[in-house]
Amino acid sequence: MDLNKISLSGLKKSLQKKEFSASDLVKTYLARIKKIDPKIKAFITITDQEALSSAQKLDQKIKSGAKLGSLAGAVMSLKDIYLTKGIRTTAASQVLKDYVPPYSSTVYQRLIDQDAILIGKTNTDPFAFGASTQNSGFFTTHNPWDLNLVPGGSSGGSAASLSARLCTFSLGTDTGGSIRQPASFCGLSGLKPTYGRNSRYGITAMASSFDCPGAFATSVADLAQISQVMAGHDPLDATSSKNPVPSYPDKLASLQLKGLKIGLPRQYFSATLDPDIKSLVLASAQKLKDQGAILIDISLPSTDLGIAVYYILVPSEISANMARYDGIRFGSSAKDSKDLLSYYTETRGKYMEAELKRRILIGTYALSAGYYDAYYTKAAQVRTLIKNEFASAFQKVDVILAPVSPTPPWPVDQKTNDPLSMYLADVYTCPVNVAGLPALALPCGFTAKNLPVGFQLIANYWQEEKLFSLGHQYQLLTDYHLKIPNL
Amino acid sequence: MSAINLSTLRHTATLARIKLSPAEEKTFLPQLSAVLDYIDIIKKVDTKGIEPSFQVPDLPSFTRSDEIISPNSSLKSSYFKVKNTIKK
Repeated sequence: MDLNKISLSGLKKSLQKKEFSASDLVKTYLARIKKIDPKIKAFITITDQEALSSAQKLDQKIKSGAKLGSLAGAVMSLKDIYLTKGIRTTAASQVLKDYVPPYSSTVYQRLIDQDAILIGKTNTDPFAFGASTQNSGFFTTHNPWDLNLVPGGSSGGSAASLSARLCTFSLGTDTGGSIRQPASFCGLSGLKPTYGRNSRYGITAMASSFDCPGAFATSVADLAQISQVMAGHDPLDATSSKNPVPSYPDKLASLQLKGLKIGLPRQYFSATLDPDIKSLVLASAQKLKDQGAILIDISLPSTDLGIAVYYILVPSEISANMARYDGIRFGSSAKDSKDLLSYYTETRGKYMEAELKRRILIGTYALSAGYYDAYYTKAAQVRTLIKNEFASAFQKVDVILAPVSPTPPWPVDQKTNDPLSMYLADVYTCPVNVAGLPALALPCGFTAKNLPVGFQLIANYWQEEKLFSLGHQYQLLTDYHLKIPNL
Repeated sequence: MSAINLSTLRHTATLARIKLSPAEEKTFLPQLSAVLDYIDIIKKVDTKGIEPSFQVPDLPSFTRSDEIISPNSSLKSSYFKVKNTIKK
């Protein structure tokens, strides 16, 4: 078998026709991980024993002629913030370095119920706080397209593992761009669904009104199939939507490109956008125009406020969510403290990574007496303005097309001492999270240095099927998503 | 200018239950000041009469009954057994 050419639909057929067994497949992936992961460092934990045992069970199922799940044989990696019962879940932080959860996240459970096989837990910025994996409490992951560069983040280990074909698909989370930006940096397709579409249950919480679990795949067609399994109501998540989930794989050809109105927000193509990226993203728009789509210049005037709103509301929610890491209920803790207050401050001071501390401090400051209205309430009001601007845009256009990242990936050893400049890298992804909209990132070409570049398609609430259909039709016209890094 | 000073940083760190080393205080002070200066741009926005959004797309929240999930080893009759926190 050729791991570089595996697709979800092909995989299930190969297993049914007994071209190879699930055990052979897992062994082949494990051998490739052994060879390639030391260069990339995508994985924190490789679940080799669990993967082999799941594969054996699946082989028994195939042998007995039982009905196979829709993801039968698909080998997946999970961002290490998805709780996996009995399997260490670190959140890439020293805070949870030895934590073994007593239950599993809902979306992970849904995927294994459809016969997907977990092969490992991937690196991320700790608790998903970052855009490069450089904040990880373990190590930095390397970009398979250029080992000197970051894979993006926070879901960088997931993106790198799939880009290097160490799995068939991977899961990440997107709170401010953490799926779309690494998808763009690693040449993958990735979906940030509508807020509430996928259950947050059993995923370490970052900012609860923003967090969106989602998947990476090597094509939009595969992504539609995985997203189908992940989506849907979960009574265990208090903001999980009860909206019905359409059949994404059946709707891949449903959208008519002729006459489709595509909005290009002028604020997303400003001077800060790298010229190579700009021309590749505009070329993708032109390609759709050639098929009969209509390109419309639109304005989203509050775009530059997106980062400010995000970096008030998200740290505020972070400071509340991270209060549970008190050293008593979970994870690592200080020893021999003189009193309970010292126990808390010493535990958190000792084990939390710098970025955790920074964001908790910003959030605590923004929520503290005297600042609450000036920061938190004000930002929540500006959130309404940003949401309203997207709503007006969707009166005029069917979908919005934009770049994902203003720059290509940066060097692994370029450790910034300026967190603000890192935060500003989310300028084109954050507003989508502020508004809770769905967005799909997919490859649209390569820079002069052969680094993949992605663009994003943004739709109105609950219109994931529209994104999949448009993305899939774009991939029928292009082959950027089929390119594989030379490792 | 909302640039914070050392005493505000220390107060915030106490509220956040985080012990900062002198080196961390030195690093974080200019970094957090820069971020707080930047986010001040929202103060210029006219938001009179605008309702705040605490979650979008305005999903109804619902509740469920709570269930205790814990490794057996930490349950003692109806109590949780936790680590020793302070020196005896």
